Amino acid sequence: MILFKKLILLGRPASGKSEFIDFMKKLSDARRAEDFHIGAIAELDDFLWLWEKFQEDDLWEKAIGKRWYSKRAEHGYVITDGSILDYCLARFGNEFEKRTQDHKTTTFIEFARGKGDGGYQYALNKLSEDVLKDAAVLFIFTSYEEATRRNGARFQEKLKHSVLAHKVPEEDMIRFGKEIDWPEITNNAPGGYLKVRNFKLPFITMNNEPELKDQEGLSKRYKNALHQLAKLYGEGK
Amino acid sequence: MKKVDDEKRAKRYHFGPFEELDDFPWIWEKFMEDSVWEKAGYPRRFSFGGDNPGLSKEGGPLFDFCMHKFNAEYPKYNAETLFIEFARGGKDAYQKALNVLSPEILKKAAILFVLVSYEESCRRNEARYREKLQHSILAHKVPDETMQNFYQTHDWLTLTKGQESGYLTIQATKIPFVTMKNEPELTDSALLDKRYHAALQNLWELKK
Repeated sequence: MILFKKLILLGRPASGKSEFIDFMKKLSDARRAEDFHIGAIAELDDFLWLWEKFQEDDLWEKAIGKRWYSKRAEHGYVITDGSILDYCLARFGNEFEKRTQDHKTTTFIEFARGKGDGGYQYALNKLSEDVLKDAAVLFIFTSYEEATRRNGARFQEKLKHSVLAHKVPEEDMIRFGKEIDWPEITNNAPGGYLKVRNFKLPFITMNNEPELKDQEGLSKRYKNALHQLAKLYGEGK
Repeated sequence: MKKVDDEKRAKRYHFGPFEELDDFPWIWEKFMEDSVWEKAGYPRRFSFGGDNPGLSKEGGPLFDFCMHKFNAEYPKYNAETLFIEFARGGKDAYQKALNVLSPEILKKAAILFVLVSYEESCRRNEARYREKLQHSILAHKVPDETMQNFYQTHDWLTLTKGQESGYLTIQATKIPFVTMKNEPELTDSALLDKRYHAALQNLWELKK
């Protein structure tokens, strides 16, 4: 049975990357491996590092009157210094090095990049060899309009449970999601291989519209995409 | 203190079950982040790298950052005794740092200043490093450059007007302090117990 060692999860903010991971986490190990080619889950998500830096900026502001990477925005923070995104790309490699790898684990490497920051072409090329080796890419596709709608809807849902709810501010939605280079770098192909430095990365673009809430519908969509990806993954070795 | 049982620790030293807030791990984390920045093609921000990384001159503001981080972290702890541990150098080192701490921290605080001379501090730093090297090639010491840049002088004795114990007023809060002279270096547990007990008993009386 083919298990992905690393699954690079890409897509606009609020396109459904987190929902995908949540779905996988709820499955039994056996079913996840059999139906989706995913082993025990490990996660590397640059949003957490960005959020950490945003919060540190709150402390820096108090300490020296200056923020390094962000400004406060409606219900969250907005990046003001794009270098932090390069830091995150390097950190994927760093974090990956620290982890013990085994054959039963699939590491999710999750991020979004807009064209203005170099796009996916640039970002993938910045990943370390350790990350790229034996990796497959799943691009979760939604239109910008749909991602924006889901971002708003998710926020409203969170607000019901906590006044501390936050959402990706509009400025960052534009930065990370309005213009993307994914269709260009894949020549609009739904699947195939991407050449990233010396690596040939299998990819699938999974259309994640319309939004599905029922598990059966999601299962079918994910299964279909991951089966195709696993096939490419196996053939590419 | 970690090796002492709860009952003795409470009776002899007036510490309950304790937790620790130490700014060194936060500073170390920044050294590690600097290595990531370097990999990303950017200059290091706070530290010099190499086998034994340390705070560079540009890293000074990190001390202010850490004081605010103490304030941010403090509400997350609920131990009977919380150790808040840091070292500062320079002409207004402790005066400046203590004034950043939140009123919530200050109102419940007592200060134990562990005093050794700069020379003794350097000697122990080196000795501890040599000792660690015998067990691990990953041993680390505060680099000499960092010691010289940041820790050669401090204002504690000025701030306390040379008194061995008493009260400091920080942001209108009266905080008891004891300066415990930690020279000569003791390795004998019984002698350490005597030294610590004397200092902490004094501090306890001031806090009451």
